[in-house]
Amino acid sequence: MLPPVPSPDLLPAVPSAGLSGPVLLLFPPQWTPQNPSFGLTSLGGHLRHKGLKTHLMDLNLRFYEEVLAPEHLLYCRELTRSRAEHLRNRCKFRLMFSVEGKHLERDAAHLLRLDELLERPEDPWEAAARGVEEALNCLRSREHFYEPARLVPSLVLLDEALDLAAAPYDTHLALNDFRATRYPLTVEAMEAATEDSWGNPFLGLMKKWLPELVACKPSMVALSISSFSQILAGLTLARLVKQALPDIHLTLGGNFFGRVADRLQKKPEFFELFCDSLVVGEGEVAFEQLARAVREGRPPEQVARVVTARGRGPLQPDPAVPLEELGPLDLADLPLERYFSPEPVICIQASRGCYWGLCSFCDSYWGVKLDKKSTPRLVAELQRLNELYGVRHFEFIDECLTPKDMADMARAIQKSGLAIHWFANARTEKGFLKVLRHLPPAGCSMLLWGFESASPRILKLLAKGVHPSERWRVLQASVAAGIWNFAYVFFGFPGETREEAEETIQGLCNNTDLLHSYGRSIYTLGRHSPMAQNPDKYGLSDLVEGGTDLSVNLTYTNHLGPDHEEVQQRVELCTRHCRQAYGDPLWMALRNRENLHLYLVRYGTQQIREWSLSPRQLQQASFQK
Amino acid sequence: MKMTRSELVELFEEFLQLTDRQQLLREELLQLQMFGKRATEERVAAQMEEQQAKLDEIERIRMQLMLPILEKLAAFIASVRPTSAAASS
Repeated sequence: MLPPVPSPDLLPAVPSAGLSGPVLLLFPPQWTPQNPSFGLTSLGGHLRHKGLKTHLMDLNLRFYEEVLAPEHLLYCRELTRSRAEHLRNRCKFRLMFSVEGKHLERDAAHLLRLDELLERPEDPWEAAARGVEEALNCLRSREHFYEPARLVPSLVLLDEALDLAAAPYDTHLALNDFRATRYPLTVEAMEAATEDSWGNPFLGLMKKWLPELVACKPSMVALSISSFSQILAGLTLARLVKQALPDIHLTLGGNFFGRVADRLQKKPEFFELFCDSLVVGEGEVAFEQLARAVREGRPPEQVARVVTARGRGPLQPDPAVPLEELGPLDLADLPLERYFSPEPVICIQASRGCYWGLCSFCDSYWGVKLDKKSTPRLVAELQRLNELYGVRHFEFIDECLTPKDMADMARAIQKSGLAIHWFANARTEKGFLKVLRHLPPAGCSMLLWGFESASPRILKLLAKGVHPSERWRVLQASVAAGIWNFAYVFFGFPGETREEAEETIQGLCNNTDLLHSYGRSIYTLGRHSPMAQNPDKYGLSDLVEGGTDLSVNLTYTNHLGPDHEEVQQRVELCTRHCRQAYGDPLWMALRNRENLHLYLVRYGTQQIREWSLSPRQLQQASFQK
Repeated sequence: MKMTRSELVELFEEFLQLTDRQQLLREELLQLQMFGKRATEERVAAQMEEQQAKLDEIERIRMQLMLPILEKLAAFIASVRPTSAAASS
């Protein structure tokens, strides 16, 4: 039996005033199509809660569905043939008359890629078109999704199909990735890229969607862009909408643009081409106030956190609106059954900012005010999503929850009788020792620990505030509680020696019983990180804003090493050793944490740990490189 | 016919840009062909017109813009050939 609906007074009150004409909230590709984005559900929820008519459109999901349609894949085959022929002629012509130019090398590489596909003995487009429907059904099926013999080949097939669709555009597309390396991240390059049908795989589809967006007759259009992989599609969409609806205020928000807003403010052409305003940082209240300002004809740049070419509003709304008072997540309008997952895993936030907030390498908490929801409010929101939409799985996207908050939350979930499952980020600090055993009974499947490096020296430089040996005790307690431990590690910290990198690899390989899985990345220098404020201390100099308007990371000279090639070698070494140490595990082929979470809930930690891929699956599965 | 190296390169680039324009039109035709099947009856006539317009434009580019470039190139090659032949004999 479902638990009772939470008392309405635990959620913020809905004002009676409403505004006509919907705010059209769009989520552009590319992001994972397996679950709705947090930005969309959070902003949409808040706007609706404040009485603003809002229409949500997940154009990322639509993009994946249309790209994977069999007829689209067959179109891509014809496009590939046509482009290969064109590239061949172009290359021949340049070589024949010795007019090599800067494009020859790129054209030749593109042609080689297309020819490799066209020369395969079996037509790969035909094979993909035949298989996509079954593969998508598998991902969406509550039965077949949990059969690795079906799931792994389905994931592989979908990624192959996506790559076939991306190849004619000289881009790379997968379920979890999009890359278009031909365009630098500058406003000038984006101006060209957003109308370049040769290299922009989004343009054609977006032109097709445009009449539907216009037909919504929005009072304002907002695009949520949180990742690099959304820039090309997001700006393409923004430009098309701005051209089609020149009198409608168009704003861009999300984690990404807030970080580069100061640079973009100096580029009036960015605003002429793509948007009327940018929303910086926490968007919910800013979007709401911006929508009202637009309706009332007030200047947008007077709204807190809003940037236009003419100026910018204050950094914080006055009075500040606590997280507690934001509207709850709203999934209405979203076709939950069409996401590429048997059940949605919904991202939710219990707190904002990082309570530690001192790590030298990190700036993910930049511009975010530390705040949290009360436990009753949080549980009421979980309960609401469970009641209204049948959501049983959650991912807490908080930077990290304190041991006390996590304990309180677990206690309240248990008390509510809510049958949900979740995972979250955490810090390996001793406060968790007494908390961990209470988490699985409240539905915790997995904790994502910021392990980073096994080297005590590096750990100290990272200023993580955790003791090198104490954290192993925390991980042991987590295992004893039945929790899956996922470790974030990275390579290439300035001054990291080969031995220190190997220490991290050995830390994983020798402790597969404590660190059940890992995700590894490469160090980047965040613009707002403490290291960027004090580069000399870390052997860095010549910090440059990347030379690109849209880069959130800095380029720098690293006087202590390692260089790029050495870092790549370390990453490859890590994959090689870990595949062996972990015994070609199933989890490596599940692709993402949400899938792993669903498997953990279905089969339990122990079974997933022991589950290796069959030789056939091993051949098919593409591992992290 | 005399032409400097940079004039020649400029001509090649112009020619290549025209082939790119033709390619884009061909791709638009391909799109119409692949996705036009779902069109309603009243859209068919409009689509046929659109298709014909693109074919006409491809032909116009070839006849009016590309052929003159090729003629210039041919004239240039013809003018330098005797010199090359003389040099090699």
